[in-house]
Amino acid sequence: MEQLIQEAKELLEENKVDVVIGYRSSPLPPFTQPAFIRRPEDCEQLVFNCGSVYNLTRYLIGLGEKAAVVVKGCEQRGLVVLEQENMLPRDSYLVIGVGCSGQVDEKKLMEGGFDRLPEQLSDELIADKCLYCDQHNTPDADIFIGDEVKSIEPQKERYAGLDEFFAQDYEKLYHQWTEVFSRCIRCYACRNICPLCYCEQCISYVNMPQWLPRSVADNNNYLFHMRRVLCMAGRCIDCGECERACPVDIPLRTLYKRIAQKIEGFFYGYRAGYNREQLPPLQDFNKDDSADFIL
Amino acid sequence: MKMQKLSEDDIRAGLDKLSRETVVYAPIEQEGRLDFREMEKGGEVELGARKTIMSAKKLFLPQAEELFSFRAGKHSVEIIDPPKDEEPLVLFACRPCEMRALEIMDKVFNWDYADSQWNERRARATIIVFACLEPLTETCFCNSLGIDSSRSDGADAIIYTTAEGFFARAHSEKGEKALKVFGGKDEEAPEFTTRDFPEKFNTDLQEEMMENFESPTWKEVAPACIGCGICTFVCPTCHCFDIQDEGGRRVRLWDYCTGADFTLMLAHQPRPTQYRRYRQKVMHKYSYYPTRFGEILCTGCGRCIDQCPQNIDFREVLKKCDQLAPAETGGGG
Repeated sequence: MEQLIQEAKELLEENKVDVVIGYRSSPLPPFTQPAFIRRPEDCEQLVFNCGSVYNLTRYLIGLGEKAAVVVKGCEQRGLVVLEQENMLPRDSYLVIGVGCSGQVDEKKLMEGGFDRLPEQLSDELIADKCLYCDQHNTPDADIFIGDEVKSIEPQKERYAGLDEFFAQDYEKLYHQWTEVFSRCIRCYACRNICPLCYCEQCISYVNMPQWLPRSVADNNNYLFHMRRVLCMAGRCIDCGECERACPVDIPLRTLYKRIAQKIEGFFYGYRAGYNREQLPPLQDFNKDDSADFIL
Repeated sequence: MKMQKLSEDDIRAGLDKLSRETVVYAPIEQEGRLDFREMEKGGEVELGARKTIMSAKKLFLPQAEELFSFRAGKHSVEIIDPPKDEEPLVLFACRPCEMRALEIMDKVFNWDYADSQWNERRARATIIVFACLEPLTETCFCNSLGIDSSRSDGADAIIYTTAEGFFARAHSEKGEKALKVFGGKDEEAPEFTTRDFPEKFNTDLQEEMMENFESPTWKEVAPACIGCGICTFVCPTCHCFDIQDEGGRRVRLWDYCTGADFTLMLAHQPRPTQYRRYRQKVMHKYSYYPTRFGEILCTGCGRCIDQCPQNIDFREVLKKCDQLAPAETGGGG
């Protein structure tokens, strides 16, 4: 922590950045909150622990000032995609990298009635996405805090369970998802928290015509969520923020991982954000791309 | 004073009977989420000290509400009134913060015109409030808004939970009619007072905010806000709406001022940056509404704090707003 505070202080004192975006403690679960530090003396507030769940890179788009941001391994993939999409030049921000051995599942933390973060993150409390993490240490960091986390054996496979789930009867799945989406209150937290949802005019705002009707009636929610899956195709980095933000526990990652799995299958094993040199498939063309749907 | 003493069995049997006669909404848990749901759809009613995710507001101001529908004729447009829902409803076990919120919103819904749909629902509903003698969660701050949650004078009836059972009292004819269904017997009730509420903080901020509208401190108030609608939608007093036409129907839809498309016009985006939108949220609740209607548009229920994905604590926001005035003038703090 000392190193984090020191580095952040120097960045501000030397005017290398206008703001350091990191985590500070909070008395409420998950016991941290995003912090926007502008004064060197406020750097004392900075922490990094297993409750530092927020993907702070989402604050970089349109920030309008030079920032240093604490980035976890999974989140760095979003920065790669943003660079590939020409939305965020790599030199417009500084990455403060960390070694992360897992983050809490906020909902499980609250159900367990914890009044502080546990010393050790147990399997019962860890976020699902962390069970198959393959990027504990932030790649391409400008500053790396602390020691690198030694490799941790993943406890499950990224797409585990998806094939079985989606192999169910179509009608059954349709009714199941209709039931799930009926909970949706169209708060758009999933969209707003996502670092890759940066469209100034989201299609859900367009009202001439209103492509995605806003009322929660008539299964309009289904349409919104299916549309979002298309937005995430080949881009979602599985940081899990959408699912964390959802106030009604819609299993969004199931959808976005499914489309990611499909993209990986169609496009030579592509996974978003792992390789800056590998263009996203929807931005690229290869003569060997399958065309059996038209020929 | 004497009140109607009820056991848990009395309450459950009474609710069962009521739900056969009329629509009853009560806090019911589904997959770990507690919300007001129709009893008829199943599930056990929660009688314990737990807060719902969404407030009871949605029963009076639905997320989507048809105002009218229309059909184009050869040379005219036919306007068709929405289907009338005249079924009386019972709202069971909402909290004093939610009841107070309805009374606060009655003012705006009867301001420049009388909102018939709101008023009809208010008239049709029998509201039975559960008192909070203690805060439901550590995020409750209704006492800072001057609310005494040991009472709810605007409710049709109030029920107190004690170790020995429940004590109920009707405030209106509708309340009496509903409580009769529960049975029980009259018994001397103890004094009901609140305890263990957090220290009050200043919520009288309307002038300070207005005078310091351009203060750069607004940028520091909630920089983590992502502009979603969660706090607005779970809030018992937020009521801003958008009106759109969907498939031949004009519908009123929940809107959220934290969103970038709130009151977005073709000619102009009135609030281009997030801090201005957040300022709008705070000032509508703590400055504009009290100035116009004499009531703060907040009842300190704490749902916004509970549900904010970025852990923004609205109490901290208000405390920062209490320091908007620049130090030199000696104001604020």
